[in-house]
Amino acid sequence: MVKRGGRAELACHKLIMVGSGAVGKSALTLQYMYGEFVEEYDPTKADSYRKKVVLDGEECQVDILDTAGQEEYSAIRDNYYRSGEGFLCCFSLTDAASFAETAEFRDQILRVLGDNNTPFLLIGNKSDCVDSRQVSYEEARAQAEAWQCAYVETSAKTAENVNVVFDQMMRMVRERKRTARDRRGEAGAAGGAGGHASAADDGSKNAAGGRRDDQGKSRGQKKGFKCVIL
Amino acid sequence: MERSPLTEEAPAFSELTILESYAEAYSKDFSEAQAIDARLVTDLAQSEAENVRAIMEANDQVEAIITQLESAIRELDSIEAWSETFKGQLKVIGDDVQLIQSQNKAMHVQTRNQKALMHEVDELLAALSIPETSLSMLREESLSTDQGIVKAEEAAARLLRRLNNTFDDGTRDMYVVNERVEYFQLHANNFAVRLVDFLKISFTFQADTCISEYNKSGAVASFALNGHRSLEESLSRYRGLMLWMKEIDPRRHNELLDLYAQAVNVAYKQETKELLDFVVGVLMPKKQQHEDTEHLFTSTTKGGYLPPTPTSGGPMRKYDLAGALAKAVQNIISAVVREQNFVTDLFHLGTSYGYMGWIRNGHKTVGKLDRPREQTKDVKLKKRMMGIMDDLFKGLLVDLMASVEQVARVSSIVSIALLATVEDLLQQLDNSNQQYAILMLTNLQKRLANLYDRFIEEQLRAIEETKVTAKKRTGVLPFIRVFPNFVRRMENALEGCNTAVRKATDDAYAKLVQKMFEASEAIARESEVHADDKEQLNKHILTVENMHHFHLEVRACKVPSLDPFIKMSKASYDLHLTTYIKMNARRAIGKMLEFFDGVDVLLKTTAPQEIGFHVSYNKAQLKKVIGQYPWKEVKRSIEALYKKVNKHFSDEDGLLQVVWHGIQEEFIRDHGRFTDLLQRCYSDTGLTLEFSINDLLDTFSELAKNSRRR
Ligand SMILES: Nc1nc2c(ncn2[C@@H]2O[C@H](COP(=O)(O)OP(=O)(O)OP(=O)(O)O)[C@@H](O)[C@H]2O)c(=O)[nH]1
Ligand SMILES: [Mg+2]
Repeated sequence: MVKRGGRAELACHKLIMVGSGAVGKSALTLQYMYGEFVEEYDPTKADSYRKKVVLDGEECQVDILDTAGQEEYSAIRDNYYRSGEGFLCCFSLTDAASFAETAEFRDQILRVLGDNNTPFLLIGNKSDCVDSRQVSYEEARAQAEAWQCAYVETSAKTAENVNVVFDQMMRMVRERKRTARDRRGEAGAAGGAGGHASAADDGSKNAAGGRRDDQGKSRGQKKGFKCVIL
Repeated sequence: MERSPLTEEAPAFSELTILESYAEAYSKDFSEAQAIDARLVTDLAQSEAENVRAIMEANDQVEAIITQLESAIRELDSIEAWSETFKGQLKVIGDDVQLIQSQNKAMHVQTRNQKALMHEVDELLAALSIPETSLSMLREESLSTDQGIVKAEEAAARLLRRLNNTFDDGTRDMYVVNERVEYFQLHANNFAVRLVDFLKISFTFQADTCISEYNKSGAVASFALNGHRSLEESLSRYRGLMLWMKEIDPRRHNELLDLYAQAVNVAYKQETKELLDFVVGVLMPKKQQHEDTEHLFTSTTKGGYLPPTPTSGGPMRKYDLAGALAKAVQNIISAVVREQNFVTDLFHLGTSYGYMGWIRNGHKTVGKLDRPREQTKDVKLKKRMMGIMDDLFKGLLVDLMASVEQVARVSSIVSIALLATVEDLLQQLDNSNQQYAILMLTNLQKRLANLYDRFIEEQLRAIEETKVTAKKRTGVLPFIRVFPNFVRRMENALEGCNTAVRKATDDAYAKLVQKMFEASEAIARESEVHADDKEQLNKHILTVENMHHFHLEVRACKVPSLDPFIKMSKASYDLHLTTYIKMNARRAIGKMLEFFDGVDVLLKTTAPQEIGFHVSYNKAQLKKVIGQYPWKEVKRSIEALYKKVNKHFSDEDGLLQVVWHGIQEEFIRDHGRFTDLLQRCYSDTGLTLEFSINDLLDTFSELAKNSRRR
């Protein structure tokens, strides 16, 4: 999965949206990409979006793979997962089943990647639907704690925390790549990032965890931002 | 026992026989009763003995029967014993049979299971195996030949089918399954990489080919693009593999789209730049300044006559800048429309069919590319399309704007023609899928409409300025001279247009005409106070000349919205011309006119024969007036007037002829009126005018002859 094409110089972070059908993966992606909320529900097969962004004053590219929530699991999905550098695992706060199903998605991801250090965020979407809420903040946070990942509640409709989750995810991915690069550099292994993208994903958990901590603190000051720091 | 029926029958028979014999005997002879009695006793004894004997005999039989029965019982007992054992044995056999039966059933289930297992293993094996030839096709088959593409498509389908398999949890955890799936994924990835590498080169190559073909085609000379037909034809062959890519690796599919857009953008950029440069560079008039003064109210038109230029009113140049640029824009938009349709079809954007179905149902050909298509309801596609189109045509809008600005700077009329084209294109694309083209056109439209408004304002200001700066207050005013040219140029630019700019132009005409009429009126008023105009004629001369010119020229433009102004100019012209003529006639034969006008007034209340009794209109007064105008004097006045009219009016537009004709008619009419009145009211006096109608006519033709000779 060596990056090809004319933009090799620009760092490209590959994110994946996973989660059950109709939880709002596409809505989150479109809100982030175009700043618009899409009311219609049109089940996704698989779409890839690309955009140049400035992350902490640094220009980079983000490639978001929006997957199908309703599809039966197949080896193709393995393939999708392998291309992911960061996972946004979404459920709908208005749908308890979708919350339960996040465990399956996580298992699949871990199985395919064979590594549980890949940046992973648990996202409870549709936070605007206060009245029809079925999953409590505490429940979800407990789940995230068990998985040792952060939990954020978003709304694709009001755009609440949407940029936050994508930015945070990109920072995690960037950090992890840096650590991996440093390690390779130390080991004197030059080049050869061939094969799967996950081949490079052996970064230190500590480093990632430490950074997350910093992130969380600065974020935590923002009003209404909910994020578990681990 | 067998005998029993006989024994029962026998006594019955014998009794009957006995009774018969009794009856016989009774009837024969009672005396024989004794004998009978005896016989009866013997018979009885006999039958008793027989009975005893029979009983004795039966006893023997019973015994025999009993023995027989006993043996039968014994036999039955043994049979029972037998059947008991038999039953026992049967039970044993039954158990065995049951055992065998259940064993048999289990065996059936087992075979079935085994068959199912075999089948499943087969399926799994099928799901996990792929002919090596297929894989090598994906590795090595040429992607540039049609045949190679078909083979690769088939192999890719086989691979996709493997990857589409859904294994249950148990199966997926099997080592062999995992290994095989990874093996397929490796091949899929390798092929995807190969495909991207190959297509990347193809895209660039095809785009380069398009550019060189465009240069060769010479299409630029007709302000056209050449299209990307060869590219479309070549790349359409990869639509199957594009769909495969979309399904197996959406990120790479997106990357391909990016690469395509980048490569093709280079071609479009160069082609459109060449086209626009050509139109602007080659066709932009070098001496624009002069041309502008002909049809625009610029500050350089500083009053005074402008020499009529040969192009004014004549046919436009075949390919004027306006038409050329409009045509170029049209062709560019057509290319945008086509490209959007093509890229949608090439990359299967917004479609939901899968690769397997696509391969099964045979290859669909691309749709119609030239016409705008229906707007999609897919919000995602709409958004994405804008991004893709922006990549494909990056910089085009900027280039277009730059060309427009450049052209607008030298010729506003061009930008109006362009505005008409742009609005027309917008109308055509309305409600279609072509959001990008619409966006571009809308931007152009806004800019052009802005330029247009500014242009009209400038024109109004220029007219206003002329009012102040005009030094010479005679002749056709510069703006009146310019206006018909302006209208012609505008109409030429707007030919067949019925969009917003048509209305805007009609509104602009109205504003301009109003402004011009106001300005010419103001200038005419100014001229009245001019020192050298003792006769106060300038105002009329100016108005007649300008209104005449306006009427003549603007009417020829045939613009419906200008009709009311044409009528206004005609009325104004008529009014001022009549006044001019009357004023001049008065100068030549004023007293006489006064006298006969008085007579006319008097005639309203007085009978003709009584006019002569009126103090002011008696014979003596008439004689005096007539005497004041001897033919010699009148002739001299007419000749002087002729010179004066010649000085007042230029021969341009034939106005001099018109005015002089009016004056001649006035004289002739007056002469006629005078003679008529003389006849009606003064016939008894015998007085006549000092000159005849023939004198007038002779002089007029003499003047005409002389002027022609000059
Ligand atoms: N109120 C509310 N509605 C949302 C929000 N996010 C998504 N929706 C709605 O939920 C429906 C499903 O959203 P999608 O984004 O299409 O769901 P998805 O996860 O992409 O579904 P699949 O593509 O089938 O996997 C749509 O009608 C959205 O408008 C949210 O934050 N608030
Ligand atoms: Mg979706």
